[in-house]
Amino acid sequence: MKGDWLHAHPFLILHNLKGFVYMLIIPLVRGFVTAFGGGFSAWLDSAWVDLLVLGFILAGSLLQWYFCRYRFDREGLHAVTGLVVRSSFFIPLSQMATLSAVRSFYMRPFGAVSLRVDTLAGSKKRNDISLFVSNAEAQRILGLHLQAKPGRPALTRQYRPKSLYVAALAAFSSSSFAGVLFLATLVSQTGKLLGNEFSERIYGTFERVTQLLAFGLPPAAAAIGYLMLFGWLCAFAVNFIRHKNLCLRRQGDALFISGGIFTIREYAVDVQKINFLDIRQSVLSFLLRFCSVHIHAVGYSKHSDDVSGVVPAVHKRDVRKTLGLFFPEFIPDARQLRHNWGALFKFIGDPSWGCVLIPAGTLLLRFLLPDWGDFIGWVGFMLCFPAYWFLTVRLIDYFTSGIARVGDRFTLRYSSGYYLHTVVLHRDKIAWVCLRQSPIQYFDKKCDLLVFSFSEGERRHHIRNLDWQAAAEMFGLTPENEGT
Amino acid sequence: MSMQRVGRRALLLWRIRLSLLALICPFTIALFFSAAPVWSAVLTILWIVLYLFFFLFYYPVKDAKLRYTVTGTTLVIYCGVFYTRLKAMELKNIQHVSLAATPLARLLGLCSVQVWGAGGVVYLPGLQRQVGMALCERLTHPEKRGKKEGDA
Repeated sequence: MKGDWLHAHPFLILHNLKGFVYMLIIPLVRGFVTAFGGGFSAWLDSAWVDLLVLGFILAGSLLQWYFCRYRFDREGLHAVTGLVVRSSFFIPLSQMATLSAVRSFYMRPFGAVSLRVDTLAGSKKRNDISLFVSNAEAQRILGLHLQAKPGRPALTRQYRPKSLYVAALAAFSSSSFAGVLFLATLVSQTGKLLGNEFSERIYGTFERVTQLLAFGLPPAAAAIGYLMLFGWLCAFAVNFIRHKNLCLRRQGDALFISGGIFTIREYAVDVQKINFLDIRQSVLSFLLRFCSVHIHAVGYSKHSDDVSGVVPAVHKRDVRKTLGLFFPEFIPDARQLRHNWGALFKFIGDPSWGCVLIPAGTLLLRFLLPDWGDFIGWVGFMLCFPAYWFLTVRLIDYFTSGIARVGDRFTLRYSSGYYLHTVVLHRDKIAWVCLRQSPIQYFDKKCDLLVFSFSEGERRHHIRNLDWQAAAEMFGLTPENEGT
Repeated sequence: MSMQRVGRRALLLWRIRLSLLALICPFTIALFFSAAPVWSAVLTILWIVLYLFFFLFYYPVKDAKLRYTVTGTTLVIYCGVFYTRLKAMELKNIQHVSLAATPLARLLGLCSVQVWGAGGVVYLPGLQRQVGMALCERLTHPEKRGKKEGDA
């Protein structure tokens, strides 16, 4: 049954206003001119200009809303937009990878929801289309995603993690740098709104608190330490708020994920469109034998403030059971192919540079600048942490990395940055594969395996030092000598 | 299906391009370092060494190693100079294919093929134009190829 053409939610009128904000320069300039020229009476005499501009802004927003219409039915999304340049498009429901509904706290009083649609095409940073709809309409559209394929089993599984698990995910996925960046933006933006005095007062308070809590450390070093700690706490709070009330529901081939306190985000993902499943561990969660489960689908977790995990924390022994309930297509298999034991330096080579050069540089600088010895020593000590942390990750990777293939399902175990990944993906989601061999590996008949999975951008999985022949055979590649 | 080499003129193209680029070096050195004979000598030695390295080693090795094949389901490219690479993209995952040629490449009847997948791009340079166009046709219409093979 085809639905009728509908207008977007009237919240779009408010949203459109920001496109006309630059026009407010006219009443602003007129105000200045009349203030120096003719005073209040002169301003009042030509107030009609301001009213005309405001009217134009409101009319423009209103007309943009009026001419934006859509129809969302079982075929897909048809939409017509544009006031001067009319454009119409159609996205088939079968091509939609992810439908997401975002209810920001400022939209909730209006009953508006930002509905976002993503397909494999389009920008990797922006949604293919975003429009404002009512709450009821958003629920209807998300429900359509479920009804897209006939004959789905009605069995529904639902999972609501405990707050402790959500806190664990927030703790593992929070970085000090992101927190500091968030804080700096917050303070500077607030300063812009409330005046520079406000932001200067915050910085001054931070300086005094740091001096009080230095506990014998150089104040500058203590400031860096506290900034990192506070940044991490902020990132933790933001992540926790984002993932609180996380709910995962699997119904047939449809996956519904929701979460958030102030801004509630809902996602409907077609399981067939999931590119890969990623079981992620940090060093800490590896030691505690916990991991978090993430999915990669086009449009899901696209923005930095999106919900990222689907299972925030699960014990290693329960992973297969949990995945069996929600993602039976993505159960990881035991390693079948791994690097040789002599490949240790291939793993620890990169982090070793930092582990050696940072202490050496610190000692050298302390020798050259003895007056700054305490500060340099503390900063060097702090900088050593990420370097040795990285070394630890690579050491764990050395003992755990490898690949497996069962039918068309591949399991890739590797590390990237500070995280250990166990990626499960199907052959039809592999965009392309590269076996890369350095001159040293050439003599050893080993190679690095680079798997590029389906993605809007480039998504690479790097497994180190595998046997060339075995890796080529596992991916069904013609060996180099076969064809020549 | 056997691995195929790229066009015979590919090496010639790369060497001409290198020589044209190398021509800029003596002019630049003469223009900016004529008053500094030591710097001038060092930079001249440097560009000549680099030119010979690329002319006699890098491009010949690149040409010798660059091979490709289209098997039943996969495009396979074998390439690399220092790092040897075997790239494989399944034909069904190819989103689109583009063919490009610089004026110099057109003069030599060569072109490059870029194969776009849903998650990356694979690049195959130095193909003869007819071969490149046939490859594009083959990669963009694998179903036609399959039908023809089936008919045969």
